[in-house]
Amino acid sequence: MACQKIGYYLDDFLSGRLLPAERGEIEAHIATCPECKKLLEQDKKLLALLKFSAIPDPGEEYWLNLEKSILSRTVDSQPTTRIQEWEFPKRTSWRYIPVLAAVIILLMISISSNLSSSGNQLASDEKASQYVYEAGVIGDYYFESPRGGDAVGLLPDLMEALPLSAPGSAAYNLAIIMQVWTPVGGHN
Amino acid sequence: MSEETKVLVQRFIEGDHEAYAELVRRYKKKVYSLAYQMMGNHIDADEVTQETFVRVFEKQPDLKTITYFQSFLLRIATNYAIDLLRRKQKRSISFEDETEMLPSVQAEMAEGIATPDRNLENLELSEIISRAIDRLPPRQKITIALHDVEGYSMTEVAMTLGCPEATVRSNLHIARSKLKKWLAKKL
Repeated sequence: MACQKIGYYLDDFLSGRLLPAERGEIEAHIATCPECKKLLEQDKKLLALLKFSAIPDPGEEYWLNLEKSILSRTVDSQPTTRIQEWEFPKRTSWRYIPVLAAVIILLMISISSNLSSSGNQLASDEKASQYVYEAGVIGDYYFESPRGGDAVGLLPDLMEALPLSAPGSAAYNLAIIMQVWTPVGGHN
Repeated sequence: MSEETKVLVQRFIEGDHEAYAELVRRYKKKVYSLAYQMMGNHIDADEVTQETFVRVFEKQPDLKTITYFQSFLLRIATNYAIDLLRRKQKRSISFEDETEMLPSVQAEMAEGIATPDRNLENLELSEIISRAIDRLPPRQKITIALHDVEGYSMTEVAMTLGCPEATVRSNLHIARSKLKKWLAKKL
């Protein structure tokens, strides 16, 4: 084996990574070559010397500060709040149902009260008989006046007395659903 | 990569910042040690260490494709250290051989080697060796630091530097030859 090749494989030789045959070849060469033997010894000493270049320990306080510093520049600098996108309310919305129900009930009571007072007014109004009959489109409704006696009126006219009571409006539809007015199927 | 490290890396990929903090705790000394070997002083080693971990944090998505976290980490450290060394080139010149070494440095080294005081010998020896390593070109320096000082295998050094093992072997051979020449009086 040539001296140049020995130099190239010296690290493997020193680390014991060569096959027995290769190792034997290098040992045989070193035994007969003073230059390569010197090279091998120098490498051994150099490796021992390099261990002296161990770094000074900066101390436990430094390690703690280093860790804190790294985390403050990474993890801790991440935004903790993010823009919330609107989502359809899930389970938590159930708690609002009693409140909503109470509002609806109050609204119904209010509408009912208004309709009664409108009916009373209509019942006492002579113009009630002049109302245009629009059977088949809206229908007419029979109701009892609190002051006695029956009155017949058309729902659109009755609903005008209510706020937001135009035909098709929420209050109008709600009034029908509530069956405050009983359809009688025809005008007397 | 050990099973524990794999789990930590996976948790970090999934956004677990506590896992990242644990990786910092486990690897900070290795990175600092390598950085110190490369830079030769505490301030620069500290900068390299911090920047390395900050870059790992920023490269969180890339971690999905890595096989060896340590090699990935040390590669980031060495690349940053090499860049820093190049930026500091005016202050830290790498010499190809002894004839290019500044006369003042040669005298300082010779003086250090000749110091008779045995109590200071180890400290001075350490400084002399560090100065000698510091004069190697960056790639040779990192090869010596990783393999001969830190004790990483050729394969690990090759993975860290992202080069073939033959290149590591060659760099090691050249670097050792220079060191033997510069430290001849101590060998």
